[in-house]
This record gives sequence, structure tokens and C-alpha cells, in this order.
Amino acid sequence: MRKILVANRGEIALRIMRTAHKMGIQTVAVYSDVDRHAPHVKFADEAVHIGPAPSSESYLVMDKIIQAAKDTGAEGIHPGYGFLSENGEFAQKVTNSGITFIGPRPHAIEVMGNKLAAKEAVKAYDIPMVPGVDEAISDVTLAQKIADEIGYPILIKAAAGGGGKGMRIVDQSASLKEQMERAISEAQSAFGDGSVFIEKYVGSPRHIEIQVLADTHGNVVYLFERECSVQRRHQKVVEEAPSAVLTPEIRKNMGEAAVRVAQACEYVGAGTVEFLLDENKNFYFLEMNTRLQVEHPVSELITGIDLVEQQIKVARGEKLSFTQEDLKIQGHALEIRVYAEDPMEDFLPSIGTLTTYQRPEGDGIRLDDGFEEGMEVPIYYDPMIAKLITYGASRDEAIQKMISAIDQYHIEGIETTLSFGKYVCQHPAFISGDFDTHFVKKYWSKEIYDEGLKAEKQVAAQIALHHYLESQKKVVVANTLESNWKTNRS
Amino acid sequence: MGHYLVTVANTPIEINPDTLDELDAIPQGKNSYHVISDQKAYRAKVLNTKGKQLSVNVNGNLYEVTIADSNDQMVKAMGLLEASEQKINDVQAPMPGLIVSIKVSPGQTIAKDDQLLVLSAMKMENIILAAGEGVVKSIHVKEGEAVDKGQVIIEME
Amino acid sequence: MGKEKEVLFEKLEQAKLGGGSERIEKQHAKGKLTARERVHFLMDEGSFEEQGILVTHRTKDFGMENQMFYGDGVVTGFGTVNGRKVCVFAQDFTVFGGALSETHAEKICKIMDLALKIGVPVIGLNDSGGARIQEGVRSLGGYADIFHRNVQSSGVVPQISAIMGPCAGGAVYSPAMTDFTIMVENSSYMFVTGPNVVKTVTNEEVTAEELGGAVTHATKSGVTHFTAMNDVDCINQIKQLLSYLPQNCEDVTPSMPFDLSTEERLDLETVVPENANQPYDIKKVVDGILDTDSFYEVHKDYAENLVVGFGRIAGKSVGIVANQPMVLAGVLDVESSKKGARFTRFCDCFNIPLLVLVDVPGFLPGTDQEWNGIITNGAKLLYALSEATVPKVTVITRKAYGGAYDVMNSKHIGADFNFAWPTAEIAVMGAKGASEIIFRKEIQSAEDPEAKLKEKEAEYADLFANPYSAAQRGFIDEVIEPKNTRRKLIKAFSILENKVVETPKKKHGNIPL
Repeated sequence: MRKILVANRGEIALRIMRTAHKMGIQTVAVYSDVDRHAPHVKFADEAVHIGPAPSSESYLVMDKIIQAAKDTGAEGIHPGYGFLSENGEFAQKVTNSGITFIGPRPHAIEVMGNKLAAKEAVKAYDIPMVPGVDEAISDVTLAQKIADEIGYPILIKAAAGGGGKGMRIVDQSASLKEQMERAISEAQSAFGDGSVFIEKYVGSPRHIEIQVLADTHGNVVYLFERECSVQRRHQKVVEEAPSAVLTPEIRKNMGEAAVRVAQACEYVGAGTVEFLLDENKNFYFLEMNTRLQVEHPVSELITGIDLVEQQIKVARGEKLSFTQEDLKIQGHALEIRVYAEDPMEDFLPSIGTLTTYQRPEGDGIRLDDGFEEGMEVPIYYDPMIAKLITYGASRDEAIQKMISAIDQYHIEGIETTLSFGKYVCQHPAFISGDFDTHFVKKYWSKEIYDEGLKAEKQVAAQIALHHYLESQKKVVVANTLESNWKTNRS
Repeated sequence: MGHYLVTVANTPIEINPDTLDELDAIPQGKNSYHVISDQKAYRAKVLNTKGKQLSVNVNGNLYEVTIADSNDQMVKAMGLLEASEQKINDVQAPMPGLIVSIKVSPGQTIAKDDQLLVLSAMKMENIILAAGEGVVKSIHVKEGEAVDKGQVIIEME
Repeated sequence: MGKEKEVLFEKLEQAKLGGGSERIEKQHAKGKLTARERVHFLMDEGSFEEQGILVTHRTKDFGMENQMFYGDGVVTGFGTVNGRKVCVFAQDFTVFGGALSETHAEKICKIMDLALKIGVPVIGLNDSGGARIQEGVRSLGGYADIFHRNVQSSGVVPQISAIMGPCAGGAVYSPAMTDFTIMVENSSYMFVTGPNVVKTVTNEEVTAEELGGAVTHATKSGVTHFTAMNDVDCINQIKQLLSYLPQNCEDVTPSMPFDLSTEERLDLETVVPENANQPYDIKKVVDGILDTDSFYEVHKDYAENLVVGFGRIAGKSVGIVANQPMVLAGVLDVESSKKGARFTRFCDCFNIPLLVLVDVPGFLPGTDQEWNGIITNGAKLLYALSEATVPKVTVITRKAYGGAYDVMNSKHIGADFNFAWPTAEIAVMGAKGASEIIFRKEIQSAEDPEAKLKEKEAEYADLFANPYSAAQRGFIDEVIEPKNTRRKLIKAFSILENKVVETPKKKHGNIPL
């Protein structure tokens, strides 16, 4: 494979291209109207314009992307995450066009992409499951009946896709109808499939996922876990590897279960098996993400393996060059997703122009981003502008590095989740490792945050006033402008 | 000299300028200070200054600071700073995004918490609810249209 | 030296309180600021230097010797506004209701004299009940001393008057002779005789606000050029106005840094409607030409058929005089002619180039106009534009008919560059009227007079309802695409920057007042 097309944008497109470049592979970018200035377009060797800003008219149009690959002679297509990455039809179409799809086979995507089919597929493999119901639903009355049977709270999830879109928790029967309708509408607009899935909502859960890697020769390994419990709106914001709570034994059990899940769908490439871990450290299979995850860098840092490189090698038909025994956890890695959102305003999108954008630098700091100073954050796509990742010999070291990296990272013009990230890193619950997916609900509010900064604000106020009053002591005189007044008069 | 009202990131803090004498702040080069307050150490740097508007970085966090002297406070209290009375009842976009659907029409009477419209930003659909009751006068946008933050979407009578 | 200093401190402390805290509270209760507070907000922080803070009056009659206030009801001094030097006086209503005494007037005169020596603008913040009656003629003399200085300073340094409270009787004539007046709504009024006298003399029932409030003078009389919502708005508007003006008649206007780009303005292409009889808003053309958001309209609500105001082109100040087709089809009448003439002369005094936008069907006919002297008043605008020696550029967007064509900065009266849009119609009158006269007999004798009129009208329109006949004669220098107007004007004003016109030696001209 000498040339690949990256069917994505933003930081992930750039990150994939960097590895390709390192491997001596040429890269092709695709871009919409608003992305002409994006770094992924500037980095690529070739770039193809694929339409207007809305993703449904550009990044989601399969034929345009395949045509772009054909026109540029790309031999492989890497879908990144989001967009078409978990679309079996796309994988099939790519393969049919004689181009290599860098990812799993269409069959695996389809099976795992449908939560019900996924559960069906892994049944025989002895994988623990969350209590739920085995059918995708789009009928509200039926949903009501099923939900009433399982008992509240229940969770509504889009049957296709993930990332929190079309996901709703319903506490009581009365609000099911409205929430269901919204979930269906969101799922419809995000994935083109309005059916949803209902399951029992597990309280106080931790979200732990296992990275797996499989080649075309039947070898499957796991690259340990990622702890992704700190979430807002069911979307991850802070991730780390390894988890602070897994014992080697549970780790091994989960890893092996994940491998079995991969085997159940004859998985190929890099994939992620998500589990819920309850208070008693029982784990339940949630779903498998048949793509590269946003938070994959933390696994890369603790294993020393470049997952994109492995994806490409697997796609080329190569055998994995290492076995499970070769893999060891070294150190600790932490990732903060930097979203264009205002943590003080319920994480509402905060869109605008990056008037200041200064990256943090240093040992053990990795920044995967897709923006530059002066760029606008477009409203059409995911609001994530960067991933800030730190690595240290221990968890504490990684956390401390993260705090200082956040302090060095200057973004102005929009609000971001950086302040939230710092708050998490300084929070006793996070530091102790004792937290679950309700972290935001339990510990985060504007009031709590403001209280924490009270002393700092007081100092800011005093210094500002001191500085101002000092500057007022100076004599003020006007600069005399160039004037004809005197010359014309003397 | 009266008290100053110093607003730091929307938090108003009243300061008697005489108490600044007790502030343990030593200058560290131009515009930088090392501050000890309650035995805690702070590194502060004054970045941009535009009269009474300053940006101050304290321990890595940037704060926008506005200073109001007694005159400024008085003028504000007298209501002389309000540019023109703005209808507070109009529904404005809380964030930039695309209008997915509009659920009300002109002339319609709405109650508090009625669904007004669905605004999609970055793939998330947000339902905008009525903050109070009233009658819709006119609707300024169409479905599928992009709106900026603060743009008036629905005008109320 | 401790004791001596204490005496000083005490005096200054007392002076700062004006008429005392009780009166200050009263002033605030009315939504008004005190003189010192107004000056504080007007001037750059820390720049103001007060003069004559310890002045007191010299009256011994009517027990006045027992009522002494430092400053004597007016705060005067110098400082900077947005970095530019100015002299300022602010009447203090908390001291004798701001009434003008001999010493009060002396302080104002002193600061005006300073302004005239150093060539800086004078800003007067008026808030005064009138003459200090206890002083009799000495107070009247004080007014006249100020009037005379207003006149001496006129055309030398810009003078701006803010009316931020009462201003009645003789006091009105100082603002009237300054260049610009700005009144605060609901808290200021100006009249020669107040409602009580009006009642006795003419039996009219009228409130002070109706008789001489900000809205009255902004719409009916044109006495005020601007209105402000409140004291702070008033002060902000003074700052904005100053930003367009030079320090004095010898200086160039301040210019803002500006980076030139293509300067094409596509919006201008669609402003003039297809139908020549359909009105449009000339302010859209103004906005299309000027730097973004730089237009500051003068006399916004008075004689709206002519729009005048300041703006910037590539960062440099210009004065705009433009017919407004939205109001009375943009016709010239008595009031709009006076308004245009006064503004033109101000710009000419202070080297502010003039941009004239023309869409004028002529002068307004009728007995009302003729009896009110449209002849003399129309002549004012003609005289003023003709007399002006600053760079003068004209853009004809549509109609330029008859005598009004001559008046509106035509080539013939000294315009430097005359541009016309392709939609321009430069003729003696509209095609219909013209054909009715020229072909009267032919039309009358035709079988179908209406059809004949249409035919002749088309014939005339073909010949004159365009800019080309004028362009052939050189009355128009260039016919330009609307979108290029700004580009053309930037170049035109740039080449005219050092324009010098030699005028015949004279004491002063005799404008038909």
C-alpha cells in the first residue's frame, strides 16, 4: 500500500496521516467547504474537495469518497472514527471498488454495529451481559411496555452508532414517550437509522474498555484496558490507562473476554470492547466499537504500540509481530478531550474563533489536535478540538503533568473543557481512583467550581486593582500631534 | 476614595483600596507578582490592560477583570449604562446552531416550559423551552437555517 | 507646613462638594450627574487639570456675601479625550442652580481664551438656570463676554455644547453659536422665553419639554444636532463626534489606521430600484461607501429629506451631504437647504472633505415654500457648497434635475470630481414633464395624445434620462459601476488631500442669511 485516503477530518485525520507518513505512505485528504484551511488538508500530499459543510453532503457521502480514492489512486481508505467508520455498507462498497478498507470486515461491523445482533453473536462465548431486551424498537408504545417490564431507570440507546448520540436515561414511565421520540429523531439524523435499544440502567457503574487487535491470520491480542468513567452527557471527557481499580486477575478476565468477543465476529484490525464494571467489580459486556477509538492514544503510550500503524499492517495482510505475552503495561497515561464547550453552562457548545491557541509542550505531553490559531470551530461537526494526553511513570505523575500541561495550554475565543479537566485532575475522588460515570453529576457544578477558585479570584481582583492604581499614579499628558497650528501662526 | 467593585469572571468582589497595603505582593519583573495570601502562594501576571479592564493570570488560570470605581458604580446604579431597553421576553439562540424544527407559530399562546423549537448544534438536538408565558409575535428564522448565539429567534408580544 | 497644608486640603475638599451633598443627591435623583462627575467621565482618566477651583463670586447684595461656594458654579479646565487635548467647562447645577455670575463667566472665558491660544476644541457642558439675578447687569455682561468669544473662536477651534439641564434666556445663544449642540432627553430644555412668559404673552399652554425639550429641538426647530438618552450617552456621543474633528482649522483631521483591500462593495449594485419612481434609503448607499459602522448622522430627525453626517473613508473623516429619496422623494426645501448649508460650512471651516450624494428631483414647490423664502434659503446651500474649498466629490446615484442639479455640488460650482452611476438621470426635469412642454402642440394635435406623450417621453428619456449627455460635456468625470464607488472615492480623496484653492481677497463673503 503506497497511498491511503483518510475519510475524516480534524485531529484524527491528522493523526492517521502522521503515522502513514512515518511509514512512507502517501496520504490523501478529503475536505468540505469549511475545511479548506484545516491542518489535515495542509498536511496531506493530495486533497480532494467533497462538497458543502454539512457532513451529510460531504464526509458521509460514500460515493464521493470512493470516487476521490479512485481519482487519486489511493489503495486504502482509513475511515478514522465517527462519520463512515462503522458503516458496513461503506466498508463493503470500498472493498467492492478494489480498495482496501483499513478496518474490520463489513460482516463484523454489521454484527457489532447492531447491539442486538452483537449480543446474539457473543452469546455462545460466555460473555456476561447487562439485563435488557433482545430487540430494536422504534415503536413508542412497545417501548413503554418493555421499559415498564424491565423497571426504571432504563437506558435508551441508538441501535446504530454510539458516542452518546440518541442516548437517553429515563427515570420514570411518564417521560418515556418524549425522551424516546428525541432519541429516535437524533438517531435518525445522526445515523440514518431511527431504531433504538432499551436496557436496564446500571447504577454507579465504571466504564472500562479493552483494546483488541486482530490480524487476518487468526491472532487476537488485547492491549489492556482504558478507564473512561468521567463522562458528561454520556460522552467521555477524561480517559486513562491502566484503570486504577483493576486487579491483574480481573484485567486478564476482561482481556480474554474481549478477545472472545472479537473472535465471535471474526474481527480484524483494531477494535474496542466496552464493559460496565459495577461496585462489586462484576463486568458486563456493553458493545464492541469496530473502529479506532478517540481515546486510543492512552493505550499506545502504555504499550508502546502505534495502533494506526498496526491497523495498516493488518490491512496489508501482515501477521502481528508480537504475542499477548510480549505486551506489558508500562507507566500510566491520561487523556483529556478538549471540547469547544462551556463547562460552566452545562457543557453547551461554545463556538467561535480561536483568537489565541498556544499548545503545551514538554516531556510526556502529547497533543493530538486539528486546529490552529485564528481558525473557526465550525458548527457542523463534533465540538472536539483536541486531545491532550500525558504520560508518566505513575498515575500521580501523569496527573501532575496533565495539570501543568493544562496551565500551559492557552485557548481564547471559545470556552473549552480544559478547566473541567484541571478540576477533575485536582479532585480527591479522581485522585483516589474512587469514582464512577456519575462523576459530573456528583461533583461538578458551576457553584462548586467557583467556590474552589474564590481565593484565586480574590488575588486576581487585588492584583488588578493594585496594578491599576499604580498605573494611575503616572503623569498623563497627551502626545502632541503633528500640528500646523503654530507653524502657520509664527 | 470609596470602595472599588472589582468583577472577576462575573464574580463581583468589593475591595477597600486601603486594604491593598496589606497585600503581600512582590513584583517579579514587569507586570508579574508573587503573592502570598493565607500562607498560600500565587503567581499572578497582568496581561492586557485597557483602562479598567485587565486580564490577570493567576496560577495558570486566566481571569478577565473589570474595575468599577465609585463613579462607575453610581452611574450603573442610576441606570445610565443601559443602552436601550431590550425586550427580555424574546427568545434568543443560547448557542450557535441549526434550527431543526419550530414548534410554535405566530399568534400562538404559550405556557412556561412549552417546547418552542429544536436547535441542533454539533449533532446534539436541544429543545428550547419557553421561559415564561406569552404570545408569539413573529418567528425570525426558518427550519434548516443557521443561527448565531444571541440571535433573536422568536419575538414575543 | 502641616497646618498650612490642612487649610489647603480643607478648601479643596469643600470645593469638590460643589453646592453640598444634599444638592448632589437631588441632582442624582433627577437622573443627572454633577458637573465634576460629567467631566470625570468625559476626560481620559487622570488627565483633567481643573483651573480656578477656588474662585468665588464678589457680590455683596441680597445676602450673597454669606453664600460662597468654591468654583462659583462652574468647573473649568483642560485634559484629554481619547488622547486629544481639549478645554472644557461644566456648569454645576448644585451651586446656585448653575446660575451665571460675573466670575462664573470669567472662568469660562479664561478657558476659552486658553483653547484659542493653543488651538484645541472647547466642550461646554451646560446646566444652568440662567443669569445670577442678584448680580444684575454684571451677569449679562458675562454672557456677552462668552458670546463674543464664541464668535471669535468660530471656525478656529471646534466648539461643542452639551445641554444637560436647563438653558434659558440669553444663555441659549452661546450653544446656538457653537458648532454642535447635543441635548439630553427629558432632562434638558432650551428656550428664549419659558412657558410662563409664553402663557402671558401668547396665551399658549405649553410644557417646558414641549416648548424646548430635546425632542422638540431635534425634530421641529433643528436647534440641536443630536439627542442623548442620558448623561452618559451624551458624553459618549461627544467623544464620538470629536473623533471626526481636527483640533483646529489649521490641522488635519485625525485618521484611523486602515488597511486597504479590494474595497469593492457589491451591496451597492442593488440599492437603486429598477423602477425610477420607487424610493430607496440613501443611507444604504452611505453605509456602502463608508468604512464599516463609521457613519455618525447629524440632525438625524430634522429635515430628513437631506441626510448629513460624518463618516470615514479609509480611516479619514469626510462630511456627507446626501438627498434622501425615502423622504419627500429627496426634494430640497427650506429646512433641508439650511441644514445642508450649515453642515457644509462646518466641514469647510475644519478641512473635512465633502462627499455629496445626489438623487434630487428639484426644489419643493408651493406657497409655503416660496413665502418662507426657498429662494434665499436654497441659495444658502448653493452658496455654501460653491464657497467650500475643501476636497469636494459628487456621486449622482439617480435623479439630478433642474436647478437642484447645479446646487448639489455640480462641476460648475467647483466640485473636484463628479461621478455618476449608470442609473443617473441628469436633466432639466423628468422626461414626462419635459415632453409635455417641448411637444405640447404636437401632443395636443395628435389623434391619441396619450400615446403621443408616451412616445415623446420615451424619446426624451432616451436622450437625457442617463448620465451620458452630461458625461459627453465633461460635467460628469466618470460613469462608474456602483460596486466601485468606494474604490473611486478612496482614490479621489487621496489625490485631493493637499488641494489648495486661491480665493479672491476679501473680508468675508456675504452668504444669504
